Amino acid sequence: MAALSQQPGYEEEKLRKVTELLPCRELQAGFLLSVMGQPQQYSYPSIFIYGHRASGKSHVMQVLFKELELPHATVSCVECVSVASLFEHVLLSFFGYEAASLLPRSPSLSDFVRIYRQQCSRSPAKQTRYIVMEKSELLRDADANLLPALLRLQELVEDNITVILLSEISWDKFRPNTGCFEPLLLHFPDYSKVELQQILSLDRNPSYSAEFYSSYINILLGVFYSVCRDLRELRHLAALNFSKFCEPLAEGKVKETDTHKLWRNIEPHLKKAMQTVYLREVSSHQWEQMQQMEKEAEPLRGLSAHTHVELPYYSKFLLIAAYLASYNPARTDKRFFLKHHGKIRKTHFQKKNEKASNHLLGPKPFPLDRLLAIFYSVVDSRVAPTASIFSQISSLVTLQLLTQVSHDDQLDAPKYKCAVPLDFICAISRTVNFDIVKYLYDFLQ
Amino acid sequence: MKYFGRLRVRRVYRWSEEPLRFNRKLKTFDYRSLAISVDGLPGVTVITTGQHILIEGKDEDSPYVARVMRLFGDESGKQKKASIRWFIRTSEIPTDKLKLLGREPHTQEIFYYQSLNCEEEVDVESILRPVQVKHLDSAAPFPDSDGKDTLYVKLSWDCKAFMEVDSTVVESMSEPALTYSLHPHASRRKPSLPPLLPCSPPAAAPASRAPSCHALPMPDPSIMHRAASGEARYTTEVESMHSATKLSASKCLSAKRRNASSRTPGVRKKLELSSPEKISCVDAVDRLLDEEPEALLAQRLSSSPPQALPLSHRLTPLRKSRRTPTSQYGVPVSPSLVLNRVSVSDINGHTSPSKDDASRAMTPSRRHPKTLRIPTLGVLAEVIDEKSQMMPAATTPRSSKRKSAQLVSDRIRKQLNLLDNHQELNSDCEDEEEFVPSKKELQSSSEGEEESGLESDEVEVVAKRNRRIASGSLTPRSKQHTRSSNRTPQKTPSKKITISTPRTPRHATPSIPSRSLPARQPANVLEEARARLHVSSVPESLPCREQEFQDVYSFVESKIIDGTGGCMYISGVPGTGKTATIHEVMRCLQHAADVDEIPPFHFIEINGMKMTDPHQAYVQILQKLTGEKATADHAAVLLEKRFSNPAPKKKTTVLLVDELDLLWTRKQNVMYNLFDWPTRRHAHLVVLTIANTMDLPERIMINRVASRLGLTRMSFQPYSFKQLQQIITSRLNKVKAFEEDALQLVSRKVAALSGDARRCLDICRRATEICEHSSTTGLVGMCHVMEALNEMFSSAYITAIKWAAVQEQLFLRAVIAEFRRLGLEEATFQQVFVQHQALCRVEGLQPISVSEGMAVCQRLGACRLLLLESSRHGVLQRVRLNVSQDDVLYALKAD
Amino acid sequence: MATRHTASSCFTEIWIEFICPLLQVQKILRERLCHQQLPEKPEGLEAQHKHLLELLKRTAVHGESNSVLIVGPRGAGKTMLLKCVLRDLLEETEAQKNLLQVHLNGLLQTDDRIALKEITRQLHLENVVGDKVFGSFAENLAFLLEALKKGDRSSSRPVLFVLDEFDLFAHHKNQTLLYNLFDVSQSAQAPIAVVGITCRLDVLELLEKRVKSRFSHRQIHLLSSLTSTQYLERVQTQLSLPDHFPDGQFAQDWNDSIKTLCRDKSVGEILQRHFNSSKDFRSLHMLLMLCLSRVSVAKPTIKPIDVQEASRVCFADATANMLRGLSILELCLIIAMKHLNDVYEGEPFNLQMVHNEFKKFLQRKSNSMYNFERPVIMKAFEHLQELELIRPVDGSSAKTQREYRLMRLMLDHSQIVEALQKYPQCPTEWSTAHLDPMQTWICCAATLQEKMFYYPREFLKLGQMKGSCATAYQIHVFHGNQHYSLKQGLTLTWGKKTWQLEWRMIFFFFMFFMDRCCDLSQQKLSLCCVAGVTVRCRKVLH
Repeated sequence: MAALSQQPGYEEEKLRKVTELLPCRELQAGFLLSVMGQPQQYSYPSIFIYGHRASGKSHVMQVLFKELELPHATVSCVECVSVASLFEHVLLSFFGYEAASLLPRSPSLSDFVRIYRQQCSRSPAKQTRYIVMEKSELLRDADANLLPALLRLQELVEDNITVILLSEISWDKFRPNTGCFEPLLLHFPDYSKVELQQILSLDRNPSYSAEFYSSYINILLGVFYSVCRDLRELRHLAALNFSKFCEPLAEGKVKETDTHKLWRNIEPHLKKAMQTVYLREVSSHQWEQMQQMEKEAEPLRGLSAHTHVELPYYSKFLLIAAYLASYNPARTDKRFFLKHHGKIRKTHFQKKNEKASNHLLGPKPFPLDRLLAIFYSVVDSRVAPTASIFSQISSLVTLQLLTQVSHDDQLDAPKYKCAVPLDFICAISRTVNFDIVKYLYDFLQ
Repeated sequence: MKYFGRLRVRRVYRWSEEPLRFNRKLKTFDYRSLAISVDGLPGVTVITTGQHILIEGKDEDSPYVARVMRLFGDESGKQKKASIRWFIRTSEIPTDKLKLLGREPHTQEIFYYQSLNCEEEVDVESILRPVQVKHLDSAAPFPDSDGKDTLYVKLSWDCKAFMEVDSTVVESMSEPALTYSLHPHASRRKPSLPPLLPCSPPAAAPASRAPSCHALPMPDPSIMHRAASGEARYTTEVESMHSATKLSASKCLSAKRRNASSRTPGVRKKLELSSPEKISCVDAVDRLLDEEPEALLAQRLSSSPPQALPLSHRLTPLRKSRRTPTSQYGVPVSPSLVLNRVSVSDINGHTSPSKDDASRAMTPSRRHPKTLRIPTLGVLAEVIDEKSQMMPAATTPRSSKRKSAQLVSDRIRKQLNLLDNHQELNSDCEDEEEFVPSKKELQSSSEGEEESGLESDEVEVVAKRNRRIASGSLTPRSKQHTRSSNRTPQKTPSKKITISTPRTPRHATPSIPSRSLPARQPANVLEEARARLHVSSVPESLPCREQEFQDVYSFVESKIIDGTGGCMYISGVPGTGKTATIHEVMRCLQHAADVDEIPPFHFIEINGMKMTDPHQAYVQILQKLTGEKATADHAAVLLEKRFSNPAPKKKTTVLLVDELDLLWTRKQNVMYNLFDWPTRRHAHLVVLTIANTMDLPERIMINRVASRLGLTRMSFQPYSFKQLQQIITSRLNKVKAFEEDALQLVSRKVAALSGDARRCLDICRRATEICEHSSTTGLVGMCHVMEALNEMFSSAYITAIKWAAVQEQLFLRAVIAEFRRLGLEEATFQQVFVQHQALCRVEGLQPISVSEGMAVCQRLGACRLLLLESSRHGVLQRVRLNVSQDDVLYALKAD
Repeated sequence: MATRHTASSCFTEIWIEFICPLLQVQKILRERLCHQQLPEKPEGLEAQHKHLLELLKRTAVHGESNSVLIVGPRGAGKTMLLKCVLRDLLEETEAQKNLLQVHLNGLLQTDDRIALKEITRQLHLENVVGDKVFGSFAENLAFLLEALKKGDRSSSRPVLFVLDEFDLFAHHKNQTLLYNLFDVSQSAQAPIAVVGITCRLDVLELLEKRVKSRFSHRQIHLLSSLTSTQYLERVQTQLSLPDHFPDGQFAQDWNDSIKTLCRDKSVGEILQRHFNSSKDFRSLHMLLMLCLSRVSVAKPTIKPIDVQEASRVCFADATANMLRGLSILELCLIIAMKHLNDVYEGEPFNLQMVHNEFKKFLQRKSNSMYNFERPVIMKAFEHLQELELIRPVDGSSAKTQREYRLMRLMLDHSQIVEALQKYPQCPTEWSTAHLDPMQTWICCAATLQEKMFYYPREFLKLGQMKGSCATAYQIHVFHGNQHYSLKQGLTLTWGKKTWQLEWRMIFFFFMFFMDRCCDLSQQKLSLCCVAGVTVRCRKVLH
């Protein structure tokens, strides 16, 4: 494989610049360049590059084209809502405004190709032109002809042009039903742990020494690597948590070299970060605030924060009832909610195999009256079926703690599902000290 | 005259006496006079043949003027009809045409209207009352009006130009159409009316008549009568021989045929088919005529010298000359005459000398032709009857020394020897091979005209153009097209503006550039055969469809003759000659119409496949009918109006709707209208619809549509192998290119599969090619035909599998294995892939990766050996075979 | 900036011309491989070439209308054939002077309205000004038909209609365009030739019957019957330089090196493999292109290693590549799903089940990794869905909560295995726990049973196998602490399935499994370790 630095047809210093702009991607860039060949040579009509997100696909393209000053148009398929914008963008970046203005109002592919031909007959390509389509998996949702046409665009417009598709999804899931021009497949592997470390270490805070920062990165990766390898995520997290990492240093408790102490300090913090920032449950701004508040030794407010939802008393019972209704088989209600259930032997209720567990299969829909029946038996004091009860049900629906599954048109027998997880309902029932687990069929021993 | 129209008093029409005779052909009784009594009024008006009458028009103020030629009614006596000659009021002539008149028209002036394109039969119910019409010489001034009811005729109008009209048309020979002589008491009976036999004083008699009387070689009454009755037609012929010489042949034939006793359509057909290109030639000329705008032409002629004009305008002399024939007593064509006439009239338009000398300037050029004409008429009549020695008769009048006279006379001579070389043609005019040389000769003779005068080059151009078109438009299709383009309804002259001036907003004329190098003609027998076998080449006759032809023919003919409407539904699988048959029928009918056996009609064709949307049908019909362009909705409205309102001068319209099923819309209003219009009383509309499926009405039509379609249906059966064989042989008549059994094989095979004639011909063509390459004996033999058949009928699947790559074959096997394992005809890629891997083991091949396997699978899917779900399903996508398992196994076993 | 482009590029051009022949090589070969430059004559398609040429010539010279379809799989050289024919046709002045050409492509002209405009444009009819076409759809159609109708066989110029991706035109509304074109070609109007190019063998079934009837059923099939030797030659011709190469000596050396390359054994095998998988030339071009791209100044020839590398790139399993990039958590989830698939014969699962499975596994196996919070797992799960490694079942409505939405795994067993082997620091001890080898054997064996039933030929092979070596071995498999020994009529149960297996089969599939997981030569089975499974084979003496 020809190294990136020695590609004929390009100036040396440019290539050198590219190399340092693309850490850990020399191989791919070099391969790409060798496939693209020299600017004035023909290149393969279409190239398909796939790799995980943040494995540097777009970045490599950008750097190559910008630094080597190749004529190119970079289109992100997310942006172009209609093919019109796509065509316009391409023409614009190759031939300028007047060309783009030639497009009719709702241009078809044939219009685009026609105008392209005109233009490039006026200004023939000295160098290979490149069209880069990011997130090209969206092309599959565009009209069926677009993708095949793009793949053989070189043939259609009779110009030295190469279309480069970037995607996270393998080519097998792209192929249209009647086949098409097969592009050149190229894989961008994701960064290995070492590479990640290397790259992350690049943006270190100058005030600290390199090895200090790299040790930090090391710890960070130790926590996050098994979960996410997304470079962007990791950089974000690294930037967020570095201050926390440095705290003991600032307080002068530990020295830079004392990695173990630092680790003990940061480790739980990072774990917490994984449950909050990483999941975007709190924005990075809130996260920093939380760090401030920790000084006052606040209790951790992670996920459990969400289990505290303030509900009216009866609504809580309604919710519990709903949960029971949707996770217990209807036939077991008798056993659970009838009085004098002592007589009935448990042997009737031997649990079925794993698959039958309702907590795996999810909530079942239940009619309103069943909910109410359970509700009355569950709630200890006598409640009259007032309008308030029903209004509370509807409000639970609006809170999306319940979901109405049956269509709205059948007013007589609405069906509901309970949409809350187990731990949530446990927390709720704890507040009204009601032991829900006793009443759940799945947890019968 | 108003109160007649205003208070719609009921008039009673009845025959005033017994029928004179019974017309077998048309099943009608001829009567002599008709009595109109208005209840509430005592008096009874009697209309006699030869009398001038007023016919109710659009408005009561100016009713149409006409002259009764015949009065007749059917056996039942219900229908009372009158055949008439139309006169036209100045008000009815478009103003820009009035310029051609070159003077102010008199208020009471009317013109003898001689254009074939309005029907000459009216229902007597439309007759208002008699009117007095006087004929004046063109030079004579109008007398101060004696009463408003007297009208004056000077000139005749054929919707292109004004011409002298002979007084006989107007006044004398009161009942030319009828052979019996007037009873003396005819005039006595109805004193209220002006004397019908004005026996115009010789002074008033036009100068041009005198010679015509004594120029007749022998006053043979039969000839006289013939000349009188059939004048229009004969003159038409004579003239048209001048204009487009090739035309004459067919005309002559038709003339002959008319003398002959009535024939069956079948025979007509043969005659007809034997000379298709002549017909098309007529149309070609017609088309040429109708392309130029009128006013434009006039000022062209006046302003610039003819040579300088571009081709399209150089045609104009021809159009003049073509027009004259349609006029009775028109001037025989010589471009010079036409030119100077027009130019003169233009001069009158611009500079105003007294119109006397203008007309004097014309007179010579008018008189001489006449002096020559009448004899030729006689001659013509003779010639057609029996072999004639009339040349001397024709040569007698050639005495005048003037140039124009010479011109005309040698024209006549030419025409005469044309005639008699048609004579020997007529004996065997069926045979086309014989006919061709004479055609050449005709052309040469038409070139012969070129030494006459400065304008000869125009004539030449014209001649050339004619030939081009004649050779070009061979097919019924193009024929139909030209007709539909120029047959435009002409209810009232005012309508004609829209026709004569092309109103297409798009100025571009659609055309394919003509080729720089001439097309090579077929060299050897095989190429000849191939040319003949091409589906496009028009057969001399359309065999194996005689019965269908008869049915359709009689259907349409009857509808046309008794001007009613109707629908017909024709079904049949593709390639069974539906459209072709209809076109044959139309061609024959059109010919029949040209020779006045049946009243003229328009033929319009639309094709559901050739329009972008069902509602375009309206637009196309309207355009072909009137040349107007309109939006679909507007067109629908116009057509609605046109077909529902009564209009006396209306011809029957025959509408062919091909690929009917494509006119289907959700509300079916297009179909509804198409089938509803014919049922209207005044829409003389015959609709022929063609579609592939027999039960189309039952399947897609809602009841109200289906019921209107009616029950006249006809289905074309697929050709049997005998018929196919016959078709081929008739196509390549005399060209010996095929062995008998080869033909039989082809026709049997095709008949067994589809019975599609096109297929059959294509196969034969392919066979000739193969034969050519194999370069064996000249004849196309069994082997070649077999090869062709294999090429066309064998499916490529087997070979495709046979030559597929190893992995692809393996995959197909895996698919079958999986199917058998599951007992289903469907499996997911994953399941198949497991099988595939196992097979790879067994075959000792390196196992392939999933992506590769996917690629293989989707490659098979791309050429539809497999049917796949969309590739998004990845390994879960379901796989089906598009071929039968046996085929696959067979193909795989083969190697 | 543009000026600088031109300057630099023309400089490089000069450089190419005179200094470096290698760039010349690149230039020439790239033209061939990337730009589908036409060959002198279409190899292996002479007959079709002749046929088509004759056909078009008759149209151009005699004005005989025709219609023909060129059918063949992708990359079989359909377009190439047509282009060659046109090139040869236009060499004759007679044809060249007359013939008008209209090129349409089903990909571009997606409906008849666009197609008609394009035709009018290419024919330069009168209603075209510049490249604007006036008139509505209906008017355009009428106009075109009019124009064609005006023409006639002898006088007007023949028109050649080329419809690429023909099958797409058959999907237009009512197939109006096709009907009219074919109709013209069957009636005495302006002579036209309609040439359709498609890769669908069933294209005729797409045509409506009246359209079909008007099409003269001429088809030219490009089903290449080329052998592997021809394939090799093709490769050689594709790579070797033409005689007019400026630097003769270099060309000589290059061609020799190519010869030696093609003679090389490994290269031969690789090419054979390509040939087996597909015969189309585009994929070949891709391979050669990759080889060519590895030629540099330092290494001015193509070496076998290059070919191997190239084919490795071509044959790489994309999905396995993607799997390798997953985080450990995601991988574990996938394995859990795999296990669920195996237990409940590929029924769909939801996140809850997967999570459950995963937890069970964590309890059972080493505490090497701590328990993840559910939302974290959820995030991983969704990432997998974005990568389309799992796919929601079509029926499952969006109303159900995410964790209960039913999913399917879109991975094949082999892919997972492959990924696990290549996976860096793969936590084998628990990943393999789910990939019990016996499973794989058993399902394979099951398939084999049918195969033996249906394919007597393979059964025979197995018989031979039995005769040769099967008897010679008795196999013991130690997996963890279980110990299966495969003897006559062994019964195995896994999940709900039970098989009565012939040990011969199992032996066969044992071998199959062995060299599938780690490729070792079939015969000498020694001690080997496959994903935590120890296999010992002892020679049994009778």
